[in-house]
Amino acid sequence: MSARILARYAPWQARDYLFERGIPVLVICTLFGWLTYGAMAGMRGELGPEALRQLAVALWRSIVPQVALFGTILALNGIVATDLRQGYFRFHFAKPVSAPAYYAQSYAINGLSLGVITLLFFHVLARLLGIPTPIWAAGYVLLYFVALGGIIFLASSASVSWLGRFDWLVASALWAGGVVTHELALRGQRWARLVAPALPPSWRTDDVFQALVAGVPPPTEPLVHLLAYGAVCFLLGVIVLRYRPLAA
Amino acid sequence: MIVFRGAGKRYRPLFRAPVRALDDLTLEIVPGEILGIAGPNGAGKSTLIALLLGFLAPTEGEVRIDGLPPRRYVERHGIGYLSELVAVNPRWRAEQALARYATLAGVPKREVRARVDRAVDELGLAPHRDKRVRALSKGNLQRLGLAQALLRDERILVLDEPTHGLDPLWTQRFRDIVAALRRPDRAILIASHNLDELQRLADRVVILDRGRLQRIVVPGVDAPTGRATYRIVVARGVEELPAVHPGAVALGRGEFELRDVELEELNRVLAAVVARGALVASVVPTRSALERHFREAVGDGAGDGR
Repeated sequence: MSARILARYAPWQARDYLFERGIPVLVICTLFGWLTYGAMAGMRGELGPEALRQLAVALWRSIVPQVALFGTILALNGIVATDLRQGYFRFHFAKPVSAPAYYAQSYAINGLSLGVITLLFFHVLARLLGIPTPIWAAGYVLLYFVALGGIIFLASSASVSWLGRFDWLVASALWAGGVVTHELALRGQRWARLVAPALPPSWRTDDVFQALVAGVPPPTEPLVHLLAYGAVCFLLGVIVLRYRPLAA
Repeated sequence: MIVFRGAGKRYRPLFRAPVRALDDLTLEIVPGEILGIAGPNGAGKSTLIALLLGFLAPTEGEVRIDGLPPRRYVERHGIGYLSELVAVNPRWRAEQALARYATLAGVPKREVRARVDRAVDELGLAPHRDKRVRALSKGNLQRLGLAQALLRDERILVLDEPTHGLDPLWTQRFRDIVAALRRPDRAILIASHNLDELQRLADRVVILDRGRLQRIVVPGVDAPTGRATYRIVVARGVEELPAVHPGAVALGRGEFELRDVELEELNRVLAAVVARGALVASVVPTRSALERHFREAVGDGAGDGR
């Protein structure tokens, strides 16, 4: 029963994403787009067509990871923790609905909606810059969503009390910690070598990104590592939701 | 239908001593019954309800609904639930919130509109249906909470402080609604500080204090023990009552108070007064039978927020 009910509730979750999270993403995208377009417009009289194209690609490279990072954080910040903290869960889960399934669906809808919104944004910006729409950029955003989103989902599911306000911060700190620890491990720090495998493989996003920008298939190992890490964190989040008490 | 068997809940805060919120509760709630739950603040009422809905797991004993753990029962069948604090996303509009809850409750798509309209009409929310939840008054928010609990014909209804914030007219209306909800296959639990409400509605009232079941009272059947104070209105022959019972305190306009008397003594006084030609208009205990049970069960510390 729960699955059928949740399928019918999906449009409401998509609507929640759009109004509560999608609009802030669009605002940030518009800001990036405006800065990029402004920079290009200022150079139009000074650079030739090839130089302009190279500049457009360079600017493009700088905004895609930013959109992916902010988009993912905005899509998942407080996804579970806010409902638990504010008490919204009480009416939701007195209904014949499973909490883990409800939030898993919400995670999927937010990810897909983020993909659609960023694809639209990238398309509009590409038209303004006069370059073909780089569809891979939306794919990169989705990869980022799965890789970083899994750990935000886990942090949100496991949050207790006021800590729930900072689920995105905890996840982002771990994400950044993944890069720092990897660097220290490369420099021979023994503790970093031990800790690094447990932390997010955030340092591998660059390998995938460079391949996508170059128009070649992304290397399998970093891709699988990122997706697997995100998926494992997401599944852990679902398991935590199955067994944790919803009320404090 | 609902069974608590030695159920207990102990909280273990990080830097404080463990708190026993509910201790060794054994209770059975049968279909067709309206069960009241009373107790001072911190008595364990909210914990009992959270255990029943599966929002918390018992640390001792077990809770079963139709033989299933509560969470599994709720995920399969749902429970009509009104929480003490009505928490609905403030950005939602009232009607939209009800449509969402009807969908989550499993109301068939073609019936959602009709169920929402019925709930809106029944709870007098028509003038507020397009308002955002954050714009609703406390009473209207409470009615919205009650409306969402009644969207589907659940076999179990749990109403936590249902008349909190309602005006006297809606409090009466709520009682009528609950009376109409009584059904042989439905169990209704009402947790309330309003003992008068429980006295009127409930078949049994469970009195909790400090996490323990103190007493189960059947209103109207279980006469409280001990002495009580009664207010008597005499319509004719006002002078007869003080003559029969010199301790009667005159309150004016034919109204008297008989303080601290046994039931037998009260009846003897009344019989004598009537025999002397007086006409007694009403006899009302200053505290309801349930209230006296409550005071006996929890002592003078009732409501002190322990």
